[in-house]
Amino acid sequence: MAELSTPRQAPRFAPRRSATRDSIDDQVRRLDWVLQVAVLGMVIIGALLVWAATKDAEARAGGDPNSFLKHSILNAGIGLVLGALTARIDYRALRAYAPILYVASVLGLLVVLSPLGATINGAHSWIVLPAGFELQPAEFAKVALVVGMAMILAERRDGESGPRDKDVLLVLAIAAVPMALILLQPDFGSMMVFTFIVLGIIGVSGAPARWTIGLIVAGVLFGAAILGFHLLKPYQEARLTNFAHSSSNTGTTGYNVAQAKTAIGDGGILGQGLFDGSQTNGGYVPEQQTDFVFTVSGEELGFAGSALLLLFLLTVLWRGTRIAMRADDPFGQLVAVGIVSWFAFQSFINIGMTLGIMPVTGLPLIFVSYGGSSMFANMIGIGLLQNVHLRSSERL
Amino acid sequence: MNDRARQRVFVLRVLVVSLVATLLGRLWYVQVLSGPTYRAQAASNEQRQLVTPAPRGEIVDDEGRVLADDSYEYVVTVNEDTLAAQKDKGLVVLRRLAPIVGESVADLQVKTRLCGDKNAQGQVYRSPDCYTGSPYEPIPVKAFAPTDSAALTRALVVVERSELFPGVAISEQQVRQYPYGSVAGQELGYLEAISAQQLTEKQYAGYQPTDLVGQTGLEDEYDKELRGTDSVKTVSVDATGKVTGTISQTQPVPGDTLVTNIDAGLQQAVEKELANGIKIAHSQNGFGTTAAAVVMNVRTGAVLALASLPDYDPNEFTGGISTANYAALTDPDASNPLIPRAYQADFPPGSTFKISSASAILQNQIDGATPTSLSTCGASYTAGDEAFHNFEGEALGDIDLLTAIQHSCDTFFYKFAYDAWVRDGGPRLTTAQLAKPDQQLFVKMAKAYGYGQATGIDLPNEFTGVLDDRKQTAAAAAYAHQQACLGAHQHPTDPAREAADAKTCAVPLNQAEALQAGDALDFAIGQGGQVDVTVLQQAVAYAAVANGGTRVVPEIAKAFISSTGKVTTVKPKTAGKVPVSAANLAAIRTGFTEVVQDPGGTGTGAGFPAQLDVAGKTGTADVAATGPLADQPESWFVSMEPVSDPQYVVAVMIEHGGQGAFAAGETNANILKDMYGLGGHKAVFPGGKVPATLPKISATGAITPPQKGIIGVTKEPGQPGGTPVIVAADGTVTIGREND
Repeated sequence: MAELSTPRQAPRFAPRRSATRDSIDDQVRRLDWVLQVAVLGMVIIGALLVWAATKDAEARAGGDPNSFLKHSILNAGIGLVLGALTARIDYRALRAYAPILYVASVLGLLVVLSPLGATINGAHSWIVLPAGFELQPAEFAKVALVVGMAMILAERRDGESGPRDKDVLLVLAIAAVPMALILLQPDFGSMMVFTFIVLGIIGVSGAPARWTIGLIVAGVLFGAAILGFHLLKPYQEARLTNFAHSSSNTGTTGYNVAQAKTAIGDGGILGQGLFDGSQTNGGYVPEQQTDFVFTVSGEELGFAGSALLLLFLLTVLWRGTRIAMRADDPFGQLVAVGIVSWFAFQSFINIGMTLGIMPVTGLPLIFVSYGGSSMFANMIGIGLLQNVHLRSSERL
Repeated sequence: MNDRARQRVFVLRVLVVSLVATLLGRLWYVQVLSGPTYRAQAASNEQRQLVTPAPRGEIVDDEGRVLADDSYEYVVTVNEDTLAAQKDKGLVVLRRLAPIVGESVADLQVKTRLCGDKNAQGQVYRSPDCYTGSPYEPIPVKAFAPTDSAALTRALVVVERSELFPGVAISEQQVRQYPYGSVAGQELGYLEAISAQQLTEKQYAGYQPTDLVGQTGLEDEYDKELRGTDSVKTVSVDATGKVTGTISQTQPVPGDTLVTNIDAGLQQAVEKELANGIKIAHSQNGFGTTAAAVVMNVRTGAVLALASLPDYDPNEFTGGISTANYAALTDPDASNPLIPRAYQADFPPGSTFKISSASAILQNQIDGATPTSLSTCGASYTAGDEAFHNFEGEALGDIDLLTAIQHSCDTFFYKFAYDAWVRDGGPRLTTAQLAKPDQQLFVKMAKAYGYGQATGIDLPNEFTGVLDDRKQTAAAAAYAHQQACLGAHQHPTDPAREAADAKTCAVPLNQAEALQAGDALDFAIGQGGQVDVTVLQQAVAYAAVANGGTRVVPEIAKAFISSTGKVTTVKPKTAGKVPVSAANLAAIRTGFTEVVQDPGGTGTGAGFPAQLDVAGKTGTADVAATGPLADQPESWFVSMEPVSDPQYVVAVMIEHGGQGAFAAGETNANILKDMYGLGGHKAVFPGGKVPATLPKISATGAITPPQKGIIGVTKEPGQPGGTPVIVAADGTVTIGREND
């Protein structure tokens, strides 16, 4: 079994059709369609929710009520193309590009912090491009980090069953650079997602368990230090601690959480109906087309619709872990694990925040929230999963 | 892939599934288990109620003449939202607006900020430095009448150059107006914004903080009926408070029109005659500035006029009264024009109180008295060892009760009062005196006539007057004794007061508490402080004698006409019968007739027109034994006519007006002349007719005056009673019944 896990041996002992040489038809047929349908389900629900969240406000402002819907469809379309391209290049070839990806994303994060970056909602996270486009490099940095970490930790010398301490230190070092830059923005939400990606990949990589445990302890201590020594800006600290006692101060920092819960609770089992959510239409929940988009689902689609959304999410994560289990090599496996960790924790933090069980941070809900960078990065992530899937020798 | 690696991915899968399961569980909790709570929160989040007051009902007189109605004025309003959205918080706009509305910029800033909002320093604005009204409606900053063309021209700039005045608008606003000005002003009352105190009271439950409510008079008494049902518009609003749509709207139900028994013409005439009466008093060395009168139907209690001077114009309160104007209205030196003296002030009744004393004497047959039995009217009456003098020392010898009424002989009444007091045990200082049965015949009769109690007129805050029995008098005396003893050593700078207090305190308490003979005697002639009455109480008491013993409840309201035309008539009410036989009442009426019509009667000089069959009683009520008011008694006259079939009672009181026969008597006679158009006066009721039906109000609000009926029956000169006479507008008299 050990020899099978080394990538260089894989083609030798498991000869199979080269993915690049497969016809496109063949590849499309062999895609993980369960995963793809779940993703499309989330994308469609997301577009409808974004539409519902913005239609009235846009109309009131005298704009095109469908402008957000159109942009959502466009974003999803571009995302699907990016995903398809990602899926098509053999992921093993990606290793060559990984350093470039990594350096590019770090540069992107640096540009954000430079005067070229823009501050939106208190975080200096954006690069404003001509023609009204904006880029959020942190989203692409997630992809780069996943690929980069997977590459280093998947490198095996003969007889090694897992990464050495040196490798772990190296990935920690390369993770620390973008994380530090993100913390400077500051984007605490992305910071948390990065932490979980790092934990997930190192945990599954087969590195000594002390690393995983040590990292968890370090993370907890770091969080406690941040709060204990008031290293955050007051509004950030308030957001982070607010979920623990949100009902006590609905007037100030707890407003978002209180309004989010009100909107979701207003939905009941069957919801108010798409476009009919009074809280949504009244614009009571801030950022309801982006970070708080789940509140629209909660109010208009109710428990039934929101549970369906969660079911799609669960399917994506389940199929992601399935792909990780069936990957031919540690690299593919760790890429899949990184993406599952990313999707799982980002979704949990986002939805958990609207339900008042996680701190308020500026994270989009994958495939659902409005936003190009997020959608593109998510789709590239799915492309990577499909890529690993397509090149897996284990078939259904 | 090796199995260890798969196991590690499996751990990740378990973790991921549990994360999603956690979200699902929490979602169930928020949406299903806590759903109702959040739905209620959501509902309050998104709805606001805008209340528009319904048109307030009119108040009209018996002929449908408008006493109070809604007019409109222009209001310059400012939308706080729009101002706040500007960089300078609207300062430039307010600077432009200030000269247009004639207010300082600072004042406009105060007016246009919402109470509860915070300033730059985070301090919350509190009333009165902010606008207390709804934050969802434009804030009124200046109102002006439609007739104020200069103001209108200035304000039009706001409309013409609207780009310079974002958030500023001009709208129409309903305002209460009183076309007759001060006529019946005190009875109508006025509207003011509901006070914080009132908002907490039960009767104002459901009122809005911006509501105007009647603060006194009919506006207060019938506020519920007049205000109708407000229009409530429930709108949906977004998170910034912007209105996004209308959820529901109820149509306003205009308030009822209140038809009063008041006749504006008569009210005007009565107020004019009261002013004239004060002049008459001044010509006789009186210095009073206040007076009050009531004209009432003796059978129904319908109040045709209820007036007092000085009065005020309720229009002054429309749109808010200035502090200076309000101070003037409540200034004691200006006799406090806000007080309606006909029912919110009490005075010693003097001899007009003999109506009750005469009833007590006849009905209880004190000393065997009958209408024809004789008793002495001496120059003075000695009770115990103290002599009590008759008015101006008059002595008439042995006379009957009717003659005693006619001449208002005090000493005649003293005898009966003294004997009754003795029967009750006199001063009651001894055990033997205390053992006497406590009959208090004079007090009980006064109570039966309604003294000491509110008449129940449909106006707020009516005075009960004073009617102290033995016990209350003793308690008052004990209190005075206690105060005197406390004060005996507390006025070192006022030796006279110290001496007086010491003297009072020196009397033993049980003697101080005793009802002295003098108290009982004073009481019988309506003096001494044990009895003070309102002018309205006198009207009710005299109406009882006129109508055969029924104590009517005076009523201003005649009917309510709803906006749909539904008429609700106010039924006459009574407060029981006086315990006096018909024969005794007739005897007392005869006595009253002699007062006016027989030579020697105290009212013969008042100038009552010979065509009318008038009975009445004078009252000259001393208010002080010494000092500047010693020779300034209250001047009273209460009349009823026609004697044969009494219709109306007219009660007049001129404060410090001198003898009742003069200032009050002449005023009373003048009021009757006004009513019937006699003695060169213009008739208030042309043709001698008062409305027999209600005015009609059409759907458009047009008012049709009512049908006229016969005002009453007057007599042919020289022929007492009986034959009906119609007095025409020009004063010509026709004998015979109309149309039958």
